Amino acid sequence: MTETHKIIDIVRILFAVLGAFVVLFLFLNHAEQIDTPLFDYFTSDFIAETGAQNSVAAIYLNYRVFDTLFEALMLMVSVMEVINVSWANKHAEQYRYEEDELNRKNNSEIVIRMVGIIYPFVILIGLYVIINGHVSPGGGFQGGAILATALITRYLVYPNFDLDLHVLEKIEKLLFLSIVTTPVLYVFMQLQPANTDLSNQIYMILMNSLIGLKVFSGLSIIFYRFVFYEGR
Amino acid sequence: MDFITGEIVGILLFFIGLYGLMTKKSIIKTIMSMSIMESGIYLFYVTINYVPGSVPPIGQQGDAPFVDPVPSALMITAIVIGIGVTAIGLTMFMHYKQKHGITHWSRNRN
Amino acid sequence: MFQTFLLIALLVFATFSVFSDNIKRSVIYLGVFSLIMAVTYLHYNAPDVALAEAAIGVGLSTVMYLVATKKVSVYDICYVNEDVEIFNDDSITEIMNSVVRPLEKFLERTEEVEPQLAYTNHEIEKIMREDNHDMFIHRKNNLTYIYGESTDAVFQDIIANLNDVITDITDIRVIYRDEVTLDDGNA
Repeated sequence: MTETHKIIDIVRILFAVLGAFVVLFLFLNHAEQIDTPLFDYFTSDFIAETGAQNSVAAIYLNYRVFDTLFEALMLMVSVMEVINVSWANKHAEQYRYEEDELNRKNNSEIVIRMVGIIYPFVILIGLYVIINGHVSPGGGFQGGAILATALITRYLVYPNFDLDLHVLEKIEKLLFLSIVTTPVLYVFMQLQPANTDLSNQIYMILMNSLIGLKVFSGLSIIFYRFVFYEGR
Repeated sequence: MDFITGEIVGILLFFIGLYGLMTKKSIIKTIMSMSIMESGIYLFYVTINYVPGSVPPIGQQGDAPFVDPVPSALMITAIVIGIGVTAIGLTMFMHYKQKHGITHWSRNRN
Repeated sequence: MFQTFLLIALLVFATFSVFSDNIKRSVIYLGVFSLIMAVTYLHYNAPDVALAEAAIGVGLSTVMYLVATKKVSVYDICYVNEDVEIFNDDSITEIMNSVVRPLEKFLERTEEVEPQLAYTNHEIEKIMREDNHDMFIHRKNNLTYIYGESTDAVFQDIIANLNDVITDITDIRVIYRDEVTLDDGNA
């Protein structure tokens, strides 16, 4: 029994090492130089075409907006999976908004005070990153994740299940619907005003805020379901 | 130290994660190995077309060339999908733990 | 130079995180790995990806792993030594190589549970009455008592392998708490 185990272990190590060597060998020995037509097309004139200073935002909000749509769909599917698995056998009694029994964890005084000072700044950074996503590094995904981190710091100080996740889930689905409709109307069907300089900027800011709020609500649903899974 | 480049380290990270995926018995360890594999792929994509001396692709182009923005835009979406995959795996793990008491793939203690 | 340092650190922390036996340690290594990964993206001039990795990889996923780790079975051990006046780090370092490290290693490698040790110098009866630990190690004068439940499979395994687990102590009494007759045996 133990000998076959040892053989299997050696086979695993050999598989990993040999695989790494084969892939490295193939990678280092191909000397073909490929042109970069996508790179040239996306970086040549993106400011005039899309109105975004940041070419990454120009790509994921205008040139390749399909990616963003399906990424939002993926996140929504994973949130639905998390909710359905964690409430698989308990329905109504777990699925409620707890108003009573608000308790305060015995955290240290230092953590509570410092989080109280930091909390508004974290939210401010999140909103800044979302709104300035098209002119500076950042955007909807990153800003939404920073806002969700702010919610985690709030949980450290005030560990109660006082968010109504039902409403948050509905908000997330509505936001997904508007994320799908906005680029379909604006980019694919070209329903644009004559002067596109201003409307491009408005479209970028609107899409970034929608994506940011959607990512924020999705990640906060996941986090709160995790923490309060089956009553801690 | 010319042979330590981003692409090679990305490939090596992928295979470190694969080794962990094959050998570790704990379910959480498997999910962590999967996220290490994902990180290797992100690193490979980000560094595949990197030219030293380039600048981030923001604003008007000056003298220096731009970094390729296509992998960056792809990898941002991939990171968000990666956290979704991690969340699904951990939720299923917690469900199994609650229902069947399983934390490892095999009950073999040897 | 800076680039080489970052890439080697990435490899080292990924290896630590995969090969470490303790899950909590492994989660922390993964967080450090993600942080270095964010700096590496910044070095390769991809600030958007760096921002996303810093917010998601370091912040959110580490907290999620820690929350999930709480659900893994923890084996709770209480080490009681009534002889010392004040329990500080020196008295833990004293027993580190003889008791703590072998016990932790045994529990991680063989039993695949997470060990968690608590140290105290209160009286053993008071702790047994008030707290609920899986196993007690009680040291008094030159004698060492080990308390545990006889239905606990992990505790039975520890007793069976006592020579590997606790190396330097020769005089050990094992007491099953749920049995009426005290079971004395020198290991």
